[in-house]
Amino acid sequence: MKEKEPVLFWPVRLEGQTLYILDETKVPEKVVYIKVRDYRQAVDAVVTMKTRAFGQFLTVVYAFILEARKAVQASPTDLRLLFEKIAEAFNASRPTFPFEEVTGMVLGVARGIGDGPQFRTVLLRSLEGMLDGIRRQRIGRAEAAARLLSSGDSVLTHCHVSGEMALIGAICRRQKKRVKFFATETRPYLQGARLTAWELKRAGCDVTLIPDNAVAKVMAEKKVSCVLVGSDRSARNGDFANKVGTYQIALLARHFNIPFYALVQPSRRLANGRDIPIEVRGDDEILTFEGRRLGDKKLQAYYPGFDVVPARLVTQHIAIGAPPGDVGRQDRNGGLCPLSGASPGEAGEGLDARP
Amino acid sequence: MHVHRPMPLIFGVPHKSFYKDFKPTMAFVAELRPGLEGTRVVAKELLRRRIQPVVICDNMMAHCMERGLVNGVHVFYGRLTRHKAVCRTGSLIAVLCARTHQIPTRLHRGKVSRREGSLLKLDGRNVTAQNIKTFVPPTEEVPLIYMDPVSRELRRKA
Repeated sequence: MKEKEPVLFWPVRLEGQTLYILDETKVPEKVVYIKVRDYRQAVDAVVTMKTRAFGQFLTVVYAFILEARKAVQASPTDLRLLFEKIAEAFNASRPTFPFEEVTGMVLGVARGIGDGPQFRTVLLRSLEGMLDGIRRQRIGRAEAAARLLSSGDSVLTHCHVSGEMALIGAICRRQKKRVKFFATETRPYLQGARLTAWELKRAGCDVTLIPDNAVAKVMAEKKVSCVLVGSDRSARNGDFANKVGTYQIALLARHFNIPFYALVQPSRRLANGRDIPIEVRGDDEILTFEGRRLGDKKLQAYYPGFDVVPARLVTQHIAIGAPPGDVGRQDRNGGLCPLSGASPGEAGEGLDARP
Repeated sequence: MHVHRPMPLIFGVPHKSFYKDFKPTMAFVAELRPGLEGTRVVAKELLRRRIQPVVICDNMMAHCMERGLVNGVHVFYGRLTRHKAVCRTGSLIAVLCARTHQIPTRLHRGKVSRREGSLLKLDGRNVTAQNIKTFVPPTEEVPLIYMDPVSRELRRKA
C-alpha cells in the first residue's frame, strides 16, 4: 500500500504480551491506547465500547493470540479449553456483532491443528497469518471502492468504516481524482463527526459534516453523486445491517436515483436481514452527552443501534476478498457470494460492527 | 426502552394549536439536531400535556417506520408556497420515508427557525476538531404532492 495507513484502519496492536487497543471514545481529542494484559480486560473494552467496529474484530482475535502467547507450558487440550472459555466470554458481550462467528473461526483454526509439540507455534502462526490476509483484503476492498469513483464525485457516507473511507480518499488523491465527501454526524455517538470527518480531514480530503437530518436536502440539491457505507453484518440474500440511519439513507438514495454502494463481508449464515438481531441500547445514550442530561428527567428514548438495508436498495456490494477489477457478484437469489475462494471466516466476518 | 406499540411521530416544532387535537398517550419526538428543540422544547410540551415523549435521533425515523412502530407522521411548516412547504430540515426525510411505508403524513403550522446552529458542539462541548467544514441548513422545501389529501386541504385553508 502506497498510502499511510489511517490510525483507525488497524486500531489494535499486540506487542509481546500486551495488547494495545485504541480508545475510540477519546478520538479525536486524543489518540490513546488502553493496555490489555488478559482476555477479561479485552472483553471489558468491548462491553464499555472503548473499541468498536473493526476494532472489536481485532480485539477478539488478538485476545486469543495474547493468551496463546502467555500459555507457554499449556498442552493442546488445555489451550483449546482456554480458547473455549475466551469464546464464551466474547459471545456474551454484545448482541449485534457476530462474535460467535469470529470466535468460531478461531476455534476452528485451533481444532484443525493436530496435537504435537509444535501445536502452539502453528496456532499462533495461523492466527497471525489470518490477520495479515484480512489486512490485504481490506486494502483491496478500498481500492475496489476507489475504482467506482470519478473525479468530481461527491460521496455521502454514514457512521464510520474503520479507516477505510480515509484510505479510499487517499487512494483517490493519489490517482488525482478530486472527490469530495459528506459525512453525517451519526447521532447519538457522533462517529461521523468524531471519527469519519476527522480522519478524512487528516488524510487531506475535502469533507463536509452534515446533520443526519440534512441527507434529503443535499440529495435534492444534487450535491451527492453516490452513497458509500460500511456494514456490520450481511445475510445470504445481500441484506445487511449497519449503524441506524443507513436504511433511511438507502431509501432516499433510491428516491433521488443516486447509486448506493456498501462495503460488505459476505456471509451465508443468515438467510436474510430479518434474521439479524438488532441491539436496543439504553435511553441515556440519546438523552445525555458526556454525563450531562440533554432534556427533562421524565423523557424516555428509543435507541435501536442498527438497521437493516434490503439488498434491493443496494446498487453494488463491494465485497471483501473480491478479485481486482471485480467488486462483487450476485448469486441466483440476488445475494452476495464470498469471492476468490475466501470463506466467510477468511474474509473477516463482521469486520465493521459499531455501536 | 423497548417499543412494541405504534405511536405518532413528530418532526419539527409545532404551533400551540397543534396540541388541541393531538391526544395520544405516547409519541415519538425527533430530537432535531443541532439545536435539539425536539428533546428540549417539543418533548417538554408533551410532558406538560401528559403525553409521554419517546425521543429518537433524526436518523432513526425510517427504522421505526419499517418496524411498524409509527402510525402517523406530523411535520410543520413555517411558510407555504403554491406547491411547497418550507419546513425544518429533515421534514423531507420524514415525509418521503412515511410515503414509502404508507404511513399517513400531516402538515401543520409550526415554528421554523432560520438560525443555523453548530454541529461542532453539543450542549456547548466540542464534539470533533473545530476546523471541519459543516453544512447545517435550517430549512428545506417539502413538495406538497407528498402530503396526504387532508394536509393539502389544510394548505388551501391556510
